[in-house]
Amino acid sequence: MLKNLWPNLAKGAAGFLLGLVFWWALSAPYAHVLASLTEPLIRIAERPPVTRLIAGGTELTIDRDDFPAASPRPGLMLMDITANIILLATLFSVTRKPLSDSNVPRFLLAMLALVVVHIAAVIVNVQSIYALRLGPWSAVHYGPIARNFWGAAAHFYTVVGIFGAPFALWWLLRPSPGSFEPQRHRGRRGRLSL
Amino acid sequence: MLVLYAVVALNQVNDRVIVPFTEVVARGAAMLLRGVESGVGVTGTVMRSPRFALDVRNGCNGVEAAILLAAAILAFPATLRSRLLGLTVACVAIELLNLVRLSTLFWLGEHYRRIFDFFHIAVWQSLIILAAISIFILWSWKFAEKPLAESR
Repeated sequence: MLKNLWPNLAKGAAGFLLGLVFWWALSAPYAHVLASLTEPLIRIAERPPVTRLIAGGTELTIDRDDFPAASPRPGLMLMDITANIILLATLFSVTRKPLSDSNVPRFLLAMLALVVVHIAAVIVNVQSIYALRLGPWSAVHYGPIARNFWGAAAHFYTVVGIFGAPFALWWLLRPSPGSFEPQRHRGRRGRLSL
Repeated sequence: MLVLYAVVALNQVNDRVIVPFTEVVARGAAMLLRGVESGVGVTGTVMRSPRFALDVRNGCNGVEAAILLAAAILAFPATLRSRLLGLTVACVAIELLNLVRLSTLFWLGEHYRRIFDFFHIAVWQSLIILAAISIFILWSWKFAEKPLAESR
């Protein structure tokens, strides 16, 4: 087991660092992508459509046409939502051949699915801010069930979803079930060894 | 996992178990930090020095990661003894790693405030969850092979 442990740790560390650099370098442009993909989806459910998401650095400012001009606009830290890219990169780097033809497309597919998860997380967080953090405005526009639903959904993503999503995507899309494990083989005496 | 999360979300459990535990975690991290940094004090769940303060809240006390790990270990087919051993070792390991996390975060907050958020959100969160996954995989390797070997 130790024979395979150190190469896996080295690959994991390399994947972690690459994921970290990739995520950090692309955080600001990715915020613009997420804003442009999420805003139309939020506006679909609005009558009239009033929400505008403005990306600035790694933060989204949430604006609405019906907010008073002088009131401060709530913000959403995207780092809290997108940092799981690092976890996904690390998990895919700990396969036997991280740069193989089977692993790279699966990793890219998982990244694409994670973008969808991020869009859903931004929608949930925006709705949670609308439902819970805007004082009397929230109470007027969201009932108790809606307030609990959006609050619980945002909390679920923060606690479980942010880690669970990349882990589930890796589990579903990894090249082969045994690629993370060391090869099991029989020793000379017929014992199962690692 | 949902049951464990629901239990720790109860106000009474939070007030009587989680908050006192978090205070112990804060004191442990401060104690670890005093090896390299003087003047670090703790009030409740708040670590503080003349230049920086850090409130250790739910989500920072390692309980969530320990719950994830505990749920995985409890759901895995293994003997009760293996599960209890796995739970104990895994929870202790996660909490020890969390003490290192809190100490380094406090130190970074005091000396390199600009990169504190980066390490808080990106580096340490990922490392803690990767540690939890690694601990579970190591434990499952160790105990998954026993039924196979015993059945042969």
